[in-house]
Amino acid sequence: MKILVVDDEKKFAKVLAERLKLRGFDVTPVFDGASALTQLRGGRFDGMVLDLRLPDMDGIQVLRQTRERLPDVKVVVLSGHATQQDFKTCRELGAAACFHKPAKISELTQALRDFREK
Amino acid sequence: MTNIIHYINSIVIHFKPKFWNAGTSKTQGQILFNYRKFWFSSVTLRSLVSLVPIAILFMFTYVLENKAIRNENHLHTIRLTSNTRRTLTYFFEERLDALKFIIQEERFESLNNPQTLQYILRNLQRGFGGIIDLGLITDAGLQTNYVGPFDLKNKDYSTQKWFISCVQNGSYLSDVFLGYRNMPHMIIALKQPIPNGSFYILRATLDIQNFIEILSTLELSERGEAFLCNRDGFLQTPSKYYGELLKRVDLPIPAYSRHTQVLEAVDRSGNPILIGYAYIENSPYILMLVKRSEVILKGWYLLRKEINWVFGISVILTLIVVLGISTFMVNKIYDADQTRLKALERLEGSSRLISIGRLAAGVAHEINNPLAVIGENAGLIEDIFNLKKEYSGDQQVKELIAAVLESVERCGGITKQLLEFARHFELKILPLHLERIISGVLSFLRKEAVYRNIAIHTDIPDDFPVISSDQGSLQQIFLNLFNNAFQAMEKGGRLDIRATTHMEGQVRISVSDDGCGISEEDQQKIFEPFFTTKGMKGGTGLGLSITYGLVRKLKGEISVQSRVGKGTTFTITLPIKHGGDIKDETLTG
Repeated sequence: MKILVVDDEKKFAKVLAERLKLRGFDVTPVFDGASALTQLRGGRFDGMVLDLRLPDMDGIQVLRQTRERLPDVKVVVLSGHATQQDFKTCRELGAAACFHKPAKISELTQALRDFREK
Repeated sequence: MTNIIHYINSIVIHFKPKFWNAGTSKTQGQILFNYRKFWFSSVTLRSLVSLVPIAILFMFTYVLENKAIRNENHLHTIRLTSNTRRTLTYFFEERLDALKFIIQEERFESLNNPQTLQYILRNLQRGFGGIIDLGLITDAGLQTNYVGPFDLKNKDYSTQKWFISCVQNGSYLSDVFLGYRNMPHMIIALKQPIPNGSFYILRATLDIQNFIEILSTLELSERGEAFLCNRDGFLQTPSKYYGELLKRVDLPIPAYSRHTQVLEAVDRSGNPILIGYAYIENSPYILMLVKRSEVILKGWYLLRKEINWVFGISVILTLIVVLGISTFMVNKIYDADQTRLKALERLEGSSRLISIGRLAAGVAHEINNPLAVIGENAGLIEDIFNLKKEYSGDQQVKELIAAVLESVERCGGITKQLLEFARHFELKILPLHLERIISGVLSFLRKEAVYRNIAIHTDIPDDFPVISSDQGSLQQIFLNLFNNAFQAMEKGGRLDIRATTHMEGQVRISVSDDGCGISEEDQQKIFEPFFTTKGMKGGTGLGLSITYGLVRKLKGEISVQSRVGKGTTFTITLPIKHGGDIKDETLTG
């Protein structure tokens, strides 16, 4: 399945992409909101791992636009410093799961697979 | 003696206003300005403003009344002296006129006849009184005829002062003198010329008893008296206080004046006196009326006493009012300042906590990203090792990676707690698991507990309800209580945290230590802001005050039970359902 990893911390995004690839996912890492939206429009992605703090725009914006235009893409939020309120907003907007960094890879893959099965 | 001092002290303490020791005691905290100084200036200014007009008013009354009484006395003395002078002048003139009439009416020969002269004397004594004897003296100074109680016939007066003066002036009014008869008397003499160029003199002796009577009938105040003296200052009538008869009077002789005068003087023994005097015309006499000032001013002294009383009472009443108003005012200002100060301190305290929270959040933020990178990289290494056969047997490397990942997880827990802790400064009522909050707060203190060998026992039943409350406030409440307990305990203490379901809809959490305890007196004040028993050890005295405020904000209650040396238990009662809206159904904490 095709996954987009969005995180401004390049090292993190690349390593996470690598780890997900090892677990059988087809992963593309991007480092800002605009490229994420471009990628989503271009390729057929099944899911997205989204950070909430991005250099060009708010992760919640990215989530909102994704849900509006591509409701089939399932989003897992992975943030270093989101509040409970942020996570609540994300869930209301349709995020499948929310995690604090650093998260366990097993929980993350579990969440991605869960929504894939849906 | 010490008892009395103690008693006075206890009264003074009772009246001592609250602000009096502000700033002098270490427990009082900060001081905005010097209340005592302010009180003193208020009292001084108000006293001056109210007392100066009173003092001026009373001074005027004093001066005016004093002047009025003095003037009245002077006037009275002048009037009395003047009247007496008129009486005396009339007395002398009357007798002189009588003699003039006789000397005009009778010839020398008939006057020289003892029977005739005796007849005239009797008539005079009947008509006027006060005449003792009559004598006829020739131009040679020989008394040729005499009627009266003494044997003075054929006495020679040619060398006597009065004779010489009478020859020169035609008439003579004498001082009081002793003369041949050796008793005080005075004489009136008249010269009558005869056609052959010679003359004779008719002389009468006056009884001084007459003017003594005139003078003694005067109504004078106590220790006041009237007397006559001659122009050389010799007393002519007896005086009780100012000298002997015919001796110099003990008073200054006032200067000549045609009119009656009054003067203030001091007598020999230093008493102030008032002298009314008059020179009696055509006579050597000065009439003197002497009054003791202290006696005539008695009325004034009485009045002055009354004025003084009224003044004293006015001053005391004014001072009481001034003291009352000033104390009340400064107390109000002090109270207002204290309230403001407390509010300021509270604000300062909470804003400091917010700053610390922000700092903690910032640090957590910045550390979190690199931590995630470390975690992911270590994870990738682990993945590679797990997937590639040539590494999968290397147990040591696997353990190393597991240790890295475990540390990353622990750090993640800490940063997450810091972020959570920093976030909850405004009330957010959420359903909470109390034991999670308590263990979260305890995790900050575990290191210290281990180091100081303090045992922590948590007793929260499994069926303990989920309560709706604010996480941040609860965290702070427990942190403050635990910190206090830690500070009260020595090494090897025991901290008990017990939660129970209290009445319906309420839970109760007790935090007990076996530390030093709090005295009964201090228990009353323990929740007051700035109250601290930590002294120089650096307590702000705000911890329990903030805790109290937070508990109240959560609609709960907090109380303390303590015994010195045994330990302290703080008990918090919280509602299970908070009155406010429940904002989120997510379980946190």
